[in-house]
Order: sequence, then structure tokens, then C-alpha cells
Amino acid sequence: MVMGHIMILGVCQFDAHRAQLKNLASGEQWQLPRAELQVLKLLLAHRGCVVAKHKLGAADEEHPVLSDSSVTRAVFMLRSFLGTEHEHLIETVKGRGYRLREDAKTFKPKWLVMPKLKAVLAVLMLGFTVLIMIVSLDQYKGSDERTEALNSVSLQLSSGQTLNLMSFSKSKTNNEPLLVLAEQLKAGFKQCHSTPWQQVYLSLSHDKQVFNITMKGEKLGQSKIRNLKLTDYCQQKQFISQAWLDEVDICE
Amino acid sequence: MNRKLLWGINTFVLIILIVSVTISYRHLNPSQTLMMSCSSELFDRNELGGSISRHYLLVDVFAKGKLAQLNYRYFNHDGSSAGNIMMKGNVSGVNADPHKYSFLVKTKEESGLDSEVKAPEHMRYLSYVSSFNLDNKGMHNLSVEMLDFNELHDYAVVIFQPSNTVCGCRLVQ
Repeated sequence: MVMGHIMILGVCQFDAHRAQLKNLASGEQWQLPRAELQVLKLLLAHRGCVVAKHKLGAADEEHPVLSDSSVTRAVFMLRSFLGTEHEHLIETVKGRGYRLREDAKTFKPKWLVMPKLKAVLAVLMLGFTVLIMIVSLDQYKGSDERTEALNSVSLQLSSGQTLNLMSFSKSKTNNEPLLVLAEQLKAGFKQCHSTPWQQVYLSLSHDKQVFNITMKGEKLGQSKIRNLKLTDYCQQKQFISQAWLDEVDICE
Repeated sequence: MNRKLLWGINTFVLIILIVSVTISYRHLNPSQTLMMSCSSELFDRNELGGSISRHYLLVDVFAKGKLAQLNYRYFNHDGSSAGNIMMKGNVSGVNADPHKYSFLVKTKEESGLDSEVKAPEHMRYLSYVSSFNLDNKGMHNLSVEMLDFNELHDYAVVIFQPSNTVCGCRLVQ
């Protein structure tokens, strides 16, 4: 219940070092006189236990004994400062003395003393943390989508070899030009008796200006790769022609 | 509120926070290295009569830690340089499945576009798209996803986005 030299009594904060009692609600401060300070310190030191009047008024190294009436007045003054809502914290035990109730709180900021605020704060923290987690996971999730082939066609050459042509597009619409080009290239490969290529990857840029062909295969046990990129800004696009197929020697 | 319940909530929040920070840290500080080189033959169809000019392109992709660099080198048919675009930025994400690297390009240097000889169309296209994003957004996002990957044979077929470009590359060990 005690944290350092600051304690909470109802709505008041007691600073033992400064001998000061402060009403947190009104901001009113009270520099405790000797009797009130001594009584409060002793009650706090024996919180929950009955402290006899004569003990509360006992002399110390610097001060003489307090009379019973001084102790009574000090308790009255302390209760007055605590206010009607919290004066019960100092109980009178008839014929025995005074007792400070144990529910006098340890130091906590005012806003933490209120249980509803605690709950709201806990929920807010939880929400904030979950939000961070969602954002973190979302960044991962954003790149989780695997790019699948839009279209995949197999072609058997006259040598019996099979060639696989795969078209890739991020867009789900307007892929007709890419599929047409795939068919044209397939027709070009059909002229080959055999080829080192086994897989052909095709894509068309989003603005349909650049046609990309990547051919992958094997020759003498080594992997072989060839990239062809065709740019065509003409109104009438004609990426592939027989002359071009002959020029690049697509079969090799 | 019950003290045990508060402790329970605090512990739960703490665990979630640690998990989130760990995930975010791993996401923001990728430890994988990617080095690959992609060579391509470029064909530009001319508007006049449909004749085709030919160039070569070498793309070097390098990513280590947070640093990312993409170097596009263009060559004429005779082997002379036709231009260069060097992009530098950060690795903004590495994904294991699908195997994908995301880059945030922040700066680029170009050479060869101002020469009297017309630069390859591919270079002009790349320059335009990257400048558009860098000028408007201050960054150019791009990703490289492995479509086919074989470390034993040192090759990878990748797709670049947002350009939607498939490309076969050699993995540099």
C-alpha cells in the first residue's frame, strides 16, 4: 500500500516528506501542523490496527507529549480535510483509540484510481496492440498472393517433344491480346522439329506495349534461358511476324 | 477491476505486443540476400514500315538487408553502351511463400537518354514509368516474384510488377 513517501487517502494525497496533504479534487494543499502530522503518520504506520490516543500523542526526540484533546482535535482536522465522503477512513474505536481503514490507497495517479478508466485504458491498450498486429500481418498478407499462370497450353512437336507455354497477367480482364500472342507464338514453335526449350513464359505489359518471352530449357545437362522483349508502339500492333521468328531462330 | 484480471490483460497485451514487434522487426529488417543477373534481347518495332531495331539489356538485381539496387544496362547490337538506369532504394518486404521481394526505389540515375541516337524503347518506357512514380509519389514500388526457382542450376524465372514482366535470370552466388 505504501509506495515511497506518497500515499492516497480518499481524494487526498499525503506527502510524508513535505508534511503536506493535498486534495486532488480541489487542488487545496495543507501544510500539516505537528499534531496532525504525527497522528497521520502513526495511523498510516499501523494501518488497520487500533492506535491508542496516548500512543498517537506520544513525545518524540524533538517534541513534547500531545494532550488527548490535541490528538482529538488533530483527528477532527484530518477528517475535515478528507471531506465527508472519506472522513470514515479514520475510525473511532470507542474507549481504545483510532484506526485508519485499510482501504486507504497507495499512490497512484488520479486517473488510475478510477476503476472505469482502468477498464477503458486496458481496452484501448488491447485495441492498439491488436491494431499494430493487424497492420504488421497485413503488410505480410499484401504480398501473399501467388501469381498463377493465366493460361497454360501444351504443344507437341513433330519430334514428340512437349513444349509448355504459360501466359502471366496480374489483371483479370482485357487479356485477349496476350492470349492471341500466345497462340501466334505457339504456331511459330509448331514449325520446329525439336527445340531445347521446355517451358515458355509469356507476359504483356499493362499498357500492352511490351511483350515478354522467356524460354527455359536444357542443353547438354545445363539449364538454358533466353529472354526476348518486344516493344511495339504502333497503332496496329504486330509483335510477332514470320520474319521476326526466322530472325531470332525461335527453335534454337 | 479484479487485480488478477488486470494482470491477465496486461500479460496478454504484453505477449501480443512482443509478437507484433518481432513480426514488424523481421518484416522491416529482412536478412536474406538476392543477387541475380538477367540478360534480354530487345526488339523495337519501328512505326515506319515495321522494321525492327535490336538492343541488349542486362539487369542486375541486388538486395541485401534493407538495401536494394537495380541496374539496367542497355547495349547496342555492336556491344556499345546504349544507356543506363540505376535505381536505389530499400527492401520493403521479403516473402517466403510465394518467394517474393518487394522494393521501394527512392532514387535513380539515368544516362544515355539525352544522346542524339534514339534510346531503346524499353529504356524510354522504364524511364517514363519510374519517373512518373518518383515525381508524383517520391517513390517507385516494384516487386520480384519467383515463378520458377532452382538454386542448384542457378536460375530463376521471375515476374516483375507492376510492369508485369516475366524474365529468366541467373542467380549469382
